[in-house]
Amino acid sequence: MILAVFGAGALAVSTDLTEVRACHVLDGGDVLVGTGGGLARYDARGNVRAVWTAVHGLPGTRIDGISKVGDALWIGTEGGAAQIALDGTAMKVTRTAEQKAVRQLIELGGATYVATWEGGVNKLGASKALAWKGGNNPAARARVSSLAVADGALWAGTANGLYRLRDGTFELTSIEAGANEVLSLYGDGAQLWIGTSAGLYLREGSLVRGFGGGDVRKVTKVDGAIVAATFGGGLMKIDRGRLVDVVGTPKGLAMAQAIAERDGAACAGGLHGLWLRSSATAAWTEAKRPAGPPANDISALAVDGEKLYVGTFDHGLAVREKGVWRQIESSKIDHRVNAILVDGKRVWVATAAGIAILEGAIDFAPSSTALRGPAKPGLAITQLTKADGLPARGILALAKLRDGRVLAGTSAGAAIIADGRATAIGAKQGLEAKNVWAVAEDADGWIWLGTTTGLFRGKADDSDWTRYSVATGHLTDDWVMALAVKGTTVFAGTYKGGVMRFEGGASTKVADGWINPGGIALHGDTLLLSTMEGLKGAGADRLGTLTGKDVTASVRLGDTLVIATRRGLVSRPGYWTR
Amino acid sequence: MKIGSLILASSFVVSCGAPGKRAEDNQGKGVIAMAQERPALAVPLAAITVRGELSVKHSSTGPWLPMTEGASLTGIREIKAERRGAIVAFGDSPKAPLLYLRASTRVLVSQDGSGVHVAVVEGRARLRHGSTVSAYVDTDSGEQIVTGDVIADAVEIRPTGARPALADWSLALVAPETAEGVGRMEARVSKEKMEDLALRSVAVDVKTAGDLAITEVTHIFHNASDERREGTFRFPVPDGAMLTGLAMEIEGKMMEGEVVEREKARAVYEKIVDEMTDPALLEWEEGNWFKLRVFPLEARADKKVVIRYVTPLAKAGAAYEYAYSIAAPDKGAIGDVTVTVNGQVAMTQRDVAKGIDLTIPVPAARVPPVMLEKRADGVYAAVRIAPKLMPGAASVAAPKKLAIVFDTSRSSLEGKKQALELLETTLKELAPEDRFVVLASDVDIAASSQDYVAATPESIRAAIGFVEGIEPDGASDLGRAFSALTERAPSDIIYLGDGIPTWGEQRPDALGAMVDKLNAPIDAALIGKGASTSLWSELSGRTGGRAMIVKSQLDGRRFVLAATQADAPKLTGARIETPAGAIAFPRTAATLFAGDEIVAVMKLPVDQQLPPSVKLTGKIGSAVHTEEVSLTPAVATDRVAQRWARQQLAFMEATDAPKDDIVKLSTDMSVLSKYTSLLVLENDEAYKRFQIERKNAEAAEKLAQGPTVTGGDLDTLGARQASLSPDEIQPGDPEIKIPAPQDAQSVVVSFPFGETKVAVWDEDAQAWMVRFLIDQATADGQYEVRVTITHADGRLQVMKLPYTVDTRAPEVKVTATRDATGYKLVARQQANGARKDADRVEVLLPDGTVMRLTQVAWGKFEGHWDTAALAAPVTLRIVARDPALNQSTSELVIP
Repeated sequence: MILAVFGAGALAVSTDLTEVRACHVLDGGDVLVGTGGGLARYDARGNVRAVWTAVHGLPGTRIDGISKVGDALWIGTEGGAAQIALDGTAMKVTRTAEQKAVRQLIELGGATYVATWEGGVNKLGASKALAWKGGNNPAARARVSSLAVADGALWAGTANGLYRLRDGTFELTSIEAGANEVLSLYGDGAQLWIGTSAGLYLREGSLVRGFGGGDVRKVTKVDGAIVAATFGGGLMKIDRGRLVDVVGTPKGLAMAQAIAERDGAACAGGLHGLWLRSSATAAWTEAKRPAGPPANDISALAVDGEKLYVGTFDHGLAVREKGVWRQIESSKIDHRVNAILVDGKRVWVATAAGIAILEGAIDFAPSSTALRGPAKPGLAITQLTKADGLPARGILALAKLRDGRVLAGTSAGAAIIADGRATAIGAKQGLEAKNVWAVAEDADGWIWLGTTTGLFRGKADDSDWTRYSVATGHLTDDWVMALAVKGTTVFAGTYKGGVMRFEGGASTKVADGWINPGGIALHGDTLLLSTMEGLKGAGADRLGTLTGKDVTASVRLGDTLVIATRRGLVSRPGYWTR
Repeated sequence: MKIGSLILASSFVVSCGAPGKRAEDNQGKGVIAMAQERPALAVPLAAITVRGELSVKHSSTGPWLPMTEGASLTGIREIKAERRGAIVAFGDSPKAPLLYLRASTRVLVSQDGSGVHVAVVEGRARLRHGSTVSAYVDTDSGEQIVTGDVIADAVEIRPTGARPALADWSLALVAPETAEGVGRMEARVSKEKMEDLALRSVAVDVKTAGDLAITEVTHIFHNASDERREGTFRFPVPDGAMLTGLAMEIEGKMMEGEVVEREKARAVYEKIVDEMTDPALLEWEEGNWFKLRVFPLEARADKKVVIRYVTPLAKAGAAYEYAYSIAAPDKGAIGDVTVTVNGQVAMTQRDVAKGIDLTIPVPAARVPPVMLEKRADGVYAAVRIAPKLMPGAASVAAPKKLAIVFDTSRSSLEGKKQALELLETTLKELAPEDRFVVLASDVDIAASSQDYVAATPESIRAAIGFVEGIEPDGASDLGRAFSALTERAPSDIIYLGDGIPTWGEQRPDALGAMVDKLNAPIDAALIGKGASTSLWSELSGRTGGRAMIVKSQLDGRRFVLAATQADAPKLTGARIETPAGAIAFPRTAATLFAGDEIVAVMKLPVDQQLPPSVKLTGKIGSAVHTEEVSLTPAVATDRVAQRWARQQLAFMEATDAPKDDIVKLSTDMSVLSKYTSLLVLENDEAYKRFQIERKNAEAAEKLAQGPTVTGGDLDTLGARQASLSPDEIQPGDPEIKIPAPQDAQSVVVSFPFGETKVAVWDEDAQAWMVRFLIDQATADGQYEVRVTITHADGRLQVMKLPYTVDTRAPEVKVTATRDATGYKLVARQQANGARKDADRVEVLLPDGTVMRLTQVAWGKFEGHWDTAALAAPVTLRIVARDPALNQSTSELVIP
């Protein structure tokens, strides 16, 4: 799906919409859904009609709230709020506000108030945040989860308690000891319903009553009753003065954090997806989950022909081929993927719990498009652990050596793997470093290890390692996160000291930036840097707004540049054929 | 993604608990007004002892002026003590009234024609009368003269002797400052020489369980040397503490100690030592100190040792309080100290070089009257009962006729020196109008004087000389002593000795009947190796006195206060009628003052219910007192069974129960007895090999899982059950490890930046794990994640885990000093308000080599550059790094 045009090319975005953080029923029955991977428009049957991210002008890709203020529709994102206009599958941002995460907007007395996460409450258009009184943790007090109007007043729920606006100042109002983390508010006349991490409360006048319910993420009225979306207990409602389970709540909604209703039609979602209901008497049905990566935190990419291997920070490994996604699930592949290496017919996956080696065919038949499922019999997976000689459980980097062996960086030195056995390179071999974040071999057969104490160069079979560091003047930061090699030239990317080029024993700085692990890609003479500040090119043009500024990897897939970010996958077809 | 820039602590004091703040409430305004109406102190205020920081004010609006020990100032209106306590005197005379100030205490002082006045605004103070000027405590209901020794806070005043444990802090002020609160690790550097290891951090995590505090002290020591060493860990547990656990980090894993029969523990230990592996055997050293051998202490590495113990909360007014003290380290500073009580950080501080005395209030609502623990072998209950007595005010006591029974039997020889000290201290406490006699007691009785005599310096000297001159010999005939007392009709009796009758009447019941006829309270100080309260708790309790085992100077001072400064209404011979079928404690009578509680601990058969009420009986004066106390619904509480076991074990030991029975109960309940030890082995396999059951490991896991709570109880949860890795301060993807059971329905982690993650069970780590990233824009500071566990049975449990993001690079200043062979290089970290956390300093020398300086103290690194005299100036590049891998570069030009 090509969603936007940037420069001479177009950007295609692929995000995971599973985590639903907010939802809103639109006129006509469509549902607007705020997810961890963007704003999505679903039709009433649960089909995705459109997805919008930061690429499309939203201030952020992670959506934190949807608010209707008068006739205006406001989207709260992790990077501020946007007033939007919808026209079918088109979305236009008409106004923006704030730069911090925005949870909610609400109107009272002609003014619109904006609840920000970490920035308190601001009046829309005003330059100064409203004042606060009470509470022992100003940082937590500034994390405002929700606003409500009740009993004629404006209330703010924060991570440091409930506040009431009086004469321009939010004053702390007690609820109950232990219930000071307010996650949601709902005003209903004189009643203020308060969802906290310690349960649901009702404030009416000066009386406060607790109902339990655990971690209450959202409170609203559905079918005339107060309903709480609870994280762990699913949907619950107030029935004859007690908080009880909503009968018929799907099991998948146990981790609920969003719910909305309009004329009987309702949406509800949470950590595990979206459910829709067409009327008060209809059952909840799960919305279709579009194909995409298993999570938005992409940590590693690798290409094998037309296959794109996608490793995620904590949701495992997936493969995409010709638009079809397949998640590879196996007890032998830890869900925390750090690096991927394609080695002929084998794919090596470095994880927080060893190395998984995949060999064989991956079934891409239409029936296997489901994201979850066990590995197919055709795919053999073996796992290397400490029992196989690896010096540590956590594997951070992989590289293939010219002699066919594989070099691994681990959290306790490096290792060379051959015939299923690992030989450690650590303190005993003269390596004065523990965490090896990057590994490479140059054309002269030197092995380069990027560590937290500098860059080391040596041969696998002897213990004479040369250390290049800030002290020696070769680096601007000792924490070397990424390496790339061209002949005998080595590029070393550091945590926050940019990239150094090593040639003939000397180093020169070629770029600034905060380089992510494995974040240097060398394509001919083009160096692409995956940094916390976005994708940077040395010899390449700049790519502007992506789904998120934290870019973790980039690869070439045919003529397409594929970019991994913390907010999904971005592709630019035709990038290499310009 | 921003990874690794994490440090698990903060550098500022979040809060310090202080009992009874009242400066801002209406109640306090009365005493403040009273103080302001009177003139300031006319007598000089003399600082006798200053352990922390003492400050004074000359006017309410004036500045605080520091006051050092030995200083004397006039015109004072306000005094405050911080960190640790202080003693001041109202006047420079040795006989002036003394005011003891606890840490975090503020008092107003004033003076008028009647004397000096003290009003406690915040904290707690003890006031002791003197003979140079009258002393008063101001209260909202008026002023109250002090003729003895009282302890006062913002809420109440009571004779110090009525509950001397509340004055322990003040007793510690008159003793040398000994190490307390934290352990110390010595490493062997040579055959003869041991040296202290740096204590990187102390984390004190306290969870209250009813009226008990379960304290877990985690020490992280650092071996800064380049050599692997062997160490000895020593740890003092507070008075009256029940040691319940010990854990040590071995090869990255915390290994829990187990209670093992003493001889078996010793045999296993010796066998493993022979095999050159890594066991640890915890042994009593002396007093309250425990000793543990630790091997190995790896070079340039940390060693983590955890001690757990249980102490009772102190009852203070209507609420309770938890106290924790750390003495000033002998040298250097403790890197980090954090005290967390029920999940709330009570204190966190860096580079702690001075002592700390914390008092953290625990609301009465958290201490249920009836506590219950159900186990497969029975139902264990603890029931707190307070008699209905009017609060005891400090009153002008009638002159005493005090008879002191001084044990001179053969068995008293060992404790004679201590008994003599107690005798002298006690006699010096007497008022001029009091009279006394000392009865030397063995098989016979000899009196220091024919009749009672006034407590003058001469008579005291004579009495001491009298007992000093008696060679301890013969048996102990308590019946004879009681008969002699009957003849002398004392108003008060003190017994000093080991308390064991070995001649004449020895039956407890008969001795009890004898003391009943004395009509005088007997306070007993039980001294010596064989001292036991098994008989004297009953004898003292039924007369209105108290029996205490005296092992230390602190015990002695506490006893003297209890014996001489407790003139207040009391319930004597207090007993609780416990249900039939229960094995219950206490089994002896008790003396209760207003505000005191008696705690009945019992074991009931599995199918037996607690009765709806219990009966408390005793006497107030000569009147019989009976109360039917309704029991509130029981609240499930940890450690009730262990509490019962401790009393049962003491009873079994005192009654010479079979050793096997004692060992069984001790190991079943993981409560140490005189026949058991705590043993730590290097891994689970070693425990299996020696067939040692992992009961403590299971209990620790349970403790780590914390109490089960719902709704509004969430703030009761502990904060340190979960852990942040890797290694807290090392770089890497931060991961949170949560020790929830594998069958939990879900483990959800909510981050302060607005995201929620579901943790996944990690088979290798045997814990739930979640990894997270920190955005580059995250500001430095302290953050907190919330972990919500939904257990298999639907129970909800919440934990909170703080972490600190730190991106500041350490700045160091380097000096080079020429010596015979080159330059001594010394790098000192410039704190600039931050903590001294640099862990690596490197210097690039002119020949291109990089020299790593050795850390010799927090923020201090040294090295030697061997070089001939320099022909021309050289520039050295210095790179300093902290654990979060923040780096700074600087240069040093050597001319």
